Amino acid sequence: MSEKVILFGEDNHIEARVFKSLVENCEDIKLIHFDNGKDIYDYVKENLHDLPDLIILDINMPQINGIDLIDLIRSENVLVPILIFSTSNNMKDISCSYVNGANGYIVKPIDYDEFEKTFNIIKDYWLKVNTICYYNNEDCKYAKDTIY
Amino acid sequence: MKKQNLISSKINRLIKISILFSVLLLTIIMFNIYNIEKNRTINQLELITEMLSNNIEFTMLHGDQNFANLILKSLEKQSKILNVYVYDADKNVFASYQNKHNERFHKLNISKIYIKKDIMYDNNILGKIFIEANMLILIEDLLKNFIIILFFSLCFLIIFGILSNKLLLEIILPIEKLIKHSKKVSQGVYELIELKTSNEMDELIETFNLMLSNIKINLNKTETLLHTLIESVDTPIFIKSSPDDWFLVNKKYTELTGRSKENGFTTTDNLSDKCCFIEKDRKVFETGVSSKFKTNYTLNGKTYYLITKISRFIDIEGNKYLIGIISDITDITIAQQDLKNSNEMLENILENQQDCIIRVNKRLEIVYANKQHCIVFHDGKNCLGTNITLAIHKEDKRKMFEAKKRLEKGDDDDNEVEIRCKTYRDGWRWFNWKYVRVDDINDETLEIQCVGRDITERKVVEELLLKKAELEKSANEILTMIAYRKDLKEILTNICLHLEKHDPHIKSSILLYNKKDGKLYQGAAPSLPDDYNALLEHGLPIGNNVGTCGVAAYNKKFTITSDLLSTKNWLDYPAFVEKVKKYNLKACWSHPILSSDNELLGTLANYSDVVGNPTEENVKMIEWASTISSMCIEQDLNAKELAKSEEKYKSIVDNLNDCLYQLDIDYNFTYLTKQITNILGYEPEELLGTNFREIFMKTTLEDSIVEFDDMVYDMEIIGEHKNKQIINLEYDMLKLYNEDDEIIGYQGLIRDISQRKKLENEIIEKSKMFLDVTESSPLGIMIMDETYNILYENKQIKKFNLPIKVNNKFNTSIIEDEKLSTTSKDKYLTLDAKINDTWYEFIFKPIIYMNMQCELILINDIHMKRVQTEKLDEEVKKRTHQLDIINKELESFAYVVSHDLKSPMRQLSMISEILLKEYGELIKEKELLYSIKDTTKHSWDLIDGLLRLSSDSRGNIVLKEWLFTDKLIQLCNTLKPKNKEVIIKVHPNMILNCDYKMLMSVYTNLINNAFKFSSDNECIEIEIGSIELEDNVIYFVCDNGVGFKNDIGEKLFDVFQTNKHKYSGTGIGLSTVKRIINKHNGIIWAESIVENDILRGACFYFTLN
Repeated sequence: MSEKVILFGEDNHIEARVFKSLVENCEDIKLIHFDNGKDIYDYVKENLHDLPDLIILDINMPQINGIDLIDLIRSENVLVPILIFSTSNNMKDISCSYVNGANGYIVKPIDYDEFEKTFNIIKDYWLKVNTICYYNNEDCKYAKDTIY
Repeated sequence: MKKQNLISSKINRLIKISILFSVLLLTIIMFNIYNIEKNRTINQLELITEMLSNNIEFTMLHGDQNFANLILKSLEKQSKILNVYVYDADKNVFASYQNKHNERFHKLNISKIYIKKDIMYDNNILGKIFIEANMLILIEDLLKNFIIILFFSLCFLIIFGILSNKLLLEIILPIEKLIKHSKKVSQGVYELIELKTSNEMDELIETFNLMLSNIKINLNKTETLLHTLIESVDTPIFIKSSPDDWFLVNKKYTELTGRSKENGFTTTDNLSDKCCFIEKDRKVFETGVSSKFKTNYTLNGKTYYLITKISRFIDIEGNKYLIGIISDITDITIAQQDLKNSNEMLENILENQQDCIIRVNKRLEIVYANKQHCIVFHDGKNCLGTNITLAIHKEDKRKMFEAKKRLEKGDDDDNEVEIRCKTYRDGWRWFNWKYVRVDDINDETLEIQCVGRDITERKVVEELLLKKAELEKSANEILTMIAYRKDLKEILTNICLHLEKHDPHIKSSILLYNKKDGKLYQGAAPSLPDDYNALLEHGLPIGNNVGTCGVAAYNKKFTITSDLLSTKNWLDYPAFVEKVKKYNLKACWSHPILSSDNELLGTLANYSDVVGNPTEENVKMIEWASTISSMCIEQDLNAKELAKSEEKYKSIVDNLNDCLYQLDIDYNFTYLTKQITNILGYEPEELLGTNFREIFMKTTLEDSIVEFDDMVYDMEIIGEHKNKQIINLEYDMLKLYNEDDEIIGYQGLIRDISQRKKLENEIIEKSKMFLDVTESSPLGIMIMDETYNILYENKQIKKFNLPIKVNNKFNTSIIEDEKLSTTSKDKYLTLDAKINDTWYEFIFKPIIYMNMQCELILINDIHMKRVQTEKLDEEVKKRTHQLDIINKELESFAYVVSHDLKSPMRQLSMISEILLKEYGELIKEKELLYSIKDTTKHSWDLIDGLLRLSSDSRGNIVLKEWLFTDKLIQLCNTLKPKNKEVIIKVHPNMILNCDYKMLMSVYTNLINNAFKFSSDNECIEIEIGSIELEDNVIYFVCDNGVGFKNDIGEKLFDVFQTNKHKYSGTGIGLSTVKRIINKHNGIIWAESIVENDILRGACFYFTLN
């Protein structure tokens, strides 16, 4: 099994630190962390032919916030799953994320144990069960036309 | 040679003559014989065919094959017959039988005769037989002789022909041709006779001459014979070869037409160049003739009608001859004309009859109608096909149908009906119809001929007579009734009926005069409608301008109103006019009924449904009736008056509440009725002899008693009761006179009016009070009737100075009319109106005022109130807007706070976790880290709770009925602590009408609380349910936990209020619950369960809506 790459955007170092410590326990996952939205966007643009397997973003990030970032990434025809990982359980944040193209929204648990559990579920589902499509190089316009 | 020349010229001439003669002779003879022979042949043939057909009948039917032989045998004897054709219609077979004996003729194109005969059997045509016969055979016989003669003559010709070539050429060649032709015809071979000597020649010439003369004689004979034959025939005969070439006519023809063969026929005479013959259906017609079939000639002043009856073509050597027989049809024509004339005459008679004559078919539709009928019934228009029953009076239709039935049965005895028919101009009239059944032999349908005569006048006379007899009878009856003193009403009714019988246009009534009030009342009116009579219930006053009866009674004269609707006397009484119109009464003739003293007893009113004056007859009858009526009314009055006057006095005295008194000339009581006891308390006897003034005049009115003429009425005085009570009294008094007109005393009535006085005072008091109230009211008060007339208004109205009054009417324009009309009877209608920049309130209320449906209007100056309200409204709007802004700000604030506060909490918790996990062994005081973790957790919950408090209890409530039972059980199971024994009781059918999400939040908080505060118990018991009260339901959640002290009950629901207790809590939960319940218009409270002064648990109750 090849190594999976998670692109992680989080400006808070403690949060990032906790997340990193969880990833380090897994041998086959590589974590690429940026603490602002702009860097993530640049990374994605530079690595369009070697995209990560999963992108996890916080909402409150400097320069570009998580929700806007989804829109930017999606506009590059990138179809990699993007999850929002935030403390906010505000309905507005949740619906905006999905509208912009998020594949999931996870409220950060307060408990460390809970945190670990949640991480494991994310890892199992998005990296093992789910089949990933990286890039929209197929012309899906045909399908769209028939539906509408 | 000379002799020879002489002879030759002689012969030449002779030959010429002989040829001419012979040709002529030949033609005539041939024609003659031909005809005779032909007829004979035809007759023969007919006989044969008849014979044959008789035989064939059977043979054909039985298919006898020997038949052919039989026919042939019989045919052989008949040399003229060529062929026989038999046609069998049944089998559709055509058979031909040839006469072999005459075989040589078959190929010749010669003239043939055909005879046709039908084969009949039992009147059915089985087939046809045709016989074909030869005509030439006759001629052959003839020619045999004729050719010999010709031969001889030819011999001569040849002899002399040698002498003269020219002659030979001229004569012999044609003769040779003739012979050739003859040969062709006869087929027989005749040899030439050799030439003889000159002697013999002479002999021959002599013989020839003799022969010639013989021929001549024979020729003449035949011609004469022919002529005699034709002439002897009785009918006119003509023969012509073309339309203008008359060959032969007989004497009869000449006699008939006045034309002979010699004169009279020119080409222009009835004939034209274009005429030709046409044969059709064995008849011959001449075309181009002006009259083809019938002609008339005038001869000796007499007109003859002729018709060519039989005409037939005859073929003689290629020439066609028309033989016609003329018939004289003069007699028939004249007879026909006579018939026509007589028909016309008959029609003339019918058309000019004074009676109506019609002929109708079985369905009673007119198939013929004479002029008179058309004029009388249809205004001269054509009426064929009209059903006569339409014009017959409905009462008489039965008569008609009965008559028709009798006719259909064939019963001709009673063939007259008298019925009413509707004429075009004069309406219904009586007709006498005589009817006869006319049976058409050809057509089986029945036709009826009717002759109608107008018998209206006779009928009228008859009816008059009948009526008169009847009238006499009823008059007698009335007189009898009077004699037997029957009931007055009954007699009067009969008089009315009698009058009505006399003239059906009249409706009679008798009004009786009531002397007392001078009015007329209904006495008898058997035919007038009840609601008309009801108008007279209250009497009809007498006067010179009151209808007809009033006038008649007033003047005591017979009064006639010929047209009610144009008379002023009537038009003043619209109630009467309406009824009169309704019942179609047009005129009224009223006769006064006067007594023997010429006093008015009543009137006799006759209403006619026709405009006009009464006839002389009517007047007579009315006068008679009024006399009779007066007789019986008078009789009745006399009888009644006696009886009445007896009772009258007594009853008056007894039934009065008033006390009757009599005074002598000095006003001392001489008589008092017992009613005085009720009034004054004294017995009558106690007061007799007492002075009137002593009792009543003590206080007032000392002198008024003296000054009156004959009578005083309603004088008010004050009297004293026996028990010293003062009472109000009223008295009437009249003077009593003796025969010499001297005053002998007084008489009168006294009555107690204290009750009345009291009521009067009360009313005055009340109205005063009403006025006091209304006039002092700050409200404007006004009463108006249905037509907006103002009946009352108080002072305040004037103070308002509003334009609400126009011509003493309510000015509806200041408020919309529509709203005013919607005023319902029971409810107030309130309207606000801005008048002169001031707001007024109008309150409308329907009331009954002075027995009228009126409207009470209350007018209130609400300007200040209104202005204030408007100000307040504006203020509220402003505040609401501000509130909205603040709310929104709060919301975003809460969001920011929660999010930004939550993050550091999480981080703190995470950091302590990591420290514990990764560096736990290095840290000595781990408890500090744990306490960080716990504190952050608590803060987290606090923030979460605060957020929920603002979000859960905000937003709109969506009410719906939800079944909560299952959900609550599920909720309890999720929330319950894991290592404890838990008993959960949830009532079934927990149905709440609420916002689901909010109520779930309520239950979550309450259940959480319950578990939290029972966590010390080993066995936790939770009960969730509802209690139904009269009009509400109380829901509760109870536990067996630590409970609380009742004095902090209300504080439980304040924000951040927690039990300073070991049980952790943010203190926001219950506050959220309270806000949600309040939003549902419900209340929430909590009670502790106390048993023996020990807290045993807590109960939270709440209601919804």
